[in-house]
Amino acid sequence: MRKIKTFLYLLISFIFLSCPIKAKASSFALSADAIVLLSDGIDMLSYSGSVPFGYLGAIAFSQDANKSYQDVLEDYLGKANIFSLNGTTINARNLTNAEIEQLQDLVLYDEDGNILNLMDIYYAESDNGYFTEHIYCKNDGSPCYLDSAKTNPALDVKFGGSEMSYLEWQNTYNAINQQLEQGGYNYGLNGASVSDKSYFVFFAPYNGAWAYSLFVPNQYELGVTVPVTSGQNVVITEWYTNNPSSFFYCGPTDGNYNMGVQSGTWNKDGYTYHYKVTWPTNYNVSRFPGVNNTYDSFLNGNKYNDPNVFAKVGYQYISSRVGQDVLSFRKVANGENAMDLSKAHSYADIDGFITDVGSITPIPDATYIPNDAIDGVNYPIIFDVVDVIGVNPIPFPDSEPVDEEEPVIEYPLPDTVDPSLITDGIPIISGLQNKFPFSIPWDLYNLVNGLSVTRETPSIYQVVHIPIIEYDWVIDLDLSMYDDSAELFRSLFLILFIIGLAVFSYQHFFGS
Amino acid sequence: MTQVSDFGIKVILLTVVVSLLPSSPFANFNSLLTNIPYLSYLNWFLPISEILVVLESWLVVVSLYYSILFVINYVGIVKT
Repeated sequence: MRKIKTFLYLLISFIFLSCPIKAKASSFALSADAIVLLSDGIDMLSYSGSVPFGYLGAIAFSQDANKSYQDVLEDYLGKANIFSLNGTTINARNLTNAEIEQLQDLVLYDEDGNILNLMDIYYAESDNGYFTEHIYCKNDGSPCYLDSAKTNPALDVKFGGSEMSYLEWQNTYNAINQQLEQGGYNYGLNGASVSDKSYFVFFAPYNGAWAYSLFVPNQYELGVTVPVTSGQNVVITEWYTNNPSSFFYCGPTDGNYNMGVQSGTWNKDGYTYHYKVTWPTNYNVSRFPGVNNTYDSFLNGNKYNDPNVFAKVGYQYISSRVGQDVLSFRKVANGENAMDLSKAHSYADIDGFITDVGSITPIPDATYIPNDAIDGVNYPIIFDVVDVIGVNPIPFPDSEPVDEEEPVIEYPLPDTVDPSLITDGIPIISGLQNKFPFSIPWDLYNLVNGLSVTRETPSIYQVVHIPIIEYDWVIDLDLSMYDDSAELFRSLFLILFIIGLAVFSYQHFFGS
Repeated sequence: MTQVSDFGIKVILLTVVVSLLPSSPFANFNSLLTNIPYLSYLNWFLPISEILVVLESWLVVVSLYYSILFVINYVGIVKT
């Protein structure tokens, strides 16, 4: 018997050693993945009206061809951090709106001209009375994400769950750039009031962050630089976070894009900060898969001032949440967000970005055009964002929502049992993991598993004001320089843990 | 047929019993644990995710070990 036990021990030890290696390899497949938020999407939306800094969407770069958009996104969430001066958000209000709107990268300098390498991402915020503008920039060499994509055209570019080649993406980008250069652009909604409503198109929370698309009825008049009349629909896709310490990265800062530069100073909390703002003079805009004539749409669409041209939305892909006025605009003091985000948080999740097609309630004072171009193709709702411009408005058809019957799973049943009872019961039995006390093993697993979050380099920047002596105690702790050492330490710790587990196992099976 | 009917009745009874059980009272704590501040920092120091992977694997193989031992003893291949 002892020989058999020894044999089993050795066999299982072999399995034990091989399993973690494989599992570990799969856990660390993420390498050069990146999320690029298309803040430039505002430029496209501006043709039909937009609010400041509404992100049109995001592109996920991954060298893993099998990784889905959502996988990249979820892996990336929480890895980047927003940090700001004085431990609070940077108020970039004293930048002009035009500067902020074009802002793609924000580099901060201290009084000695050195780059304030606070953390990975800088965050700036501005408020126009109705909307808070958010700017997220990264200053750690992150343009390499796009650089790497350029040098490797085969690199997958995944947008909203679909894919396209980088070259395809770039071609469209260039095409739309040309269009953008032909005219101005505009942000902001003039005339929005506290009674105005917006509508969720989709709402997808993730770890510590959430994304949503909003549909804003055509009740506003645009106009700061471009006199766009009301009568257009607006869809916003923005990324927010309910955890200010985590966010993810915005657009490219590639010098090849003819970066513009603006530098100056601003004062905040008694400090003078020197800033340098760079932005690409061209705008990087994505092409949207499934919409083959995006460029033409922009050419023919309502560019600036035709009140008879209405935007269109691919309504057949809009979730049933459209029509629910869930988010109100508030007129707030500077520095506050005009949108009632706290209320938005209370709404339930929608699974992923691809929302089901549900019945929709026509929004008053809005006209829709059925989107025949992508009819029948189940693209993520995010693609509808681009398809906001149309011509020759067609009234919204009075169609009844079609309820498709879900397939019913039939279980083999004994003859003498009422089938209705069994079909209701089996799912309950299979849900034992949610029923106390049978749920305890799963609870324990989830509890321990909850300790495993995305690791983050400890970094603290906090100014503690001591009023008695009028002294600001700056706590500036950044352990990023020890990243390599930490990796070594973790590896050694893991080896020690495995040795300890092996010793424990041996003593457990064979005694001390 | 009688056995089949008994099985059906047992399934119904089991279903009713399970449906009467309360939901897990710990489910809400999972999200709370994830939101612990500086947990990501702790993960920077300690390879928690890797440790979990190892532990999971260890549990699997230990379960396998006992399963095989149980089978060996049950079929009486070796008498201890």
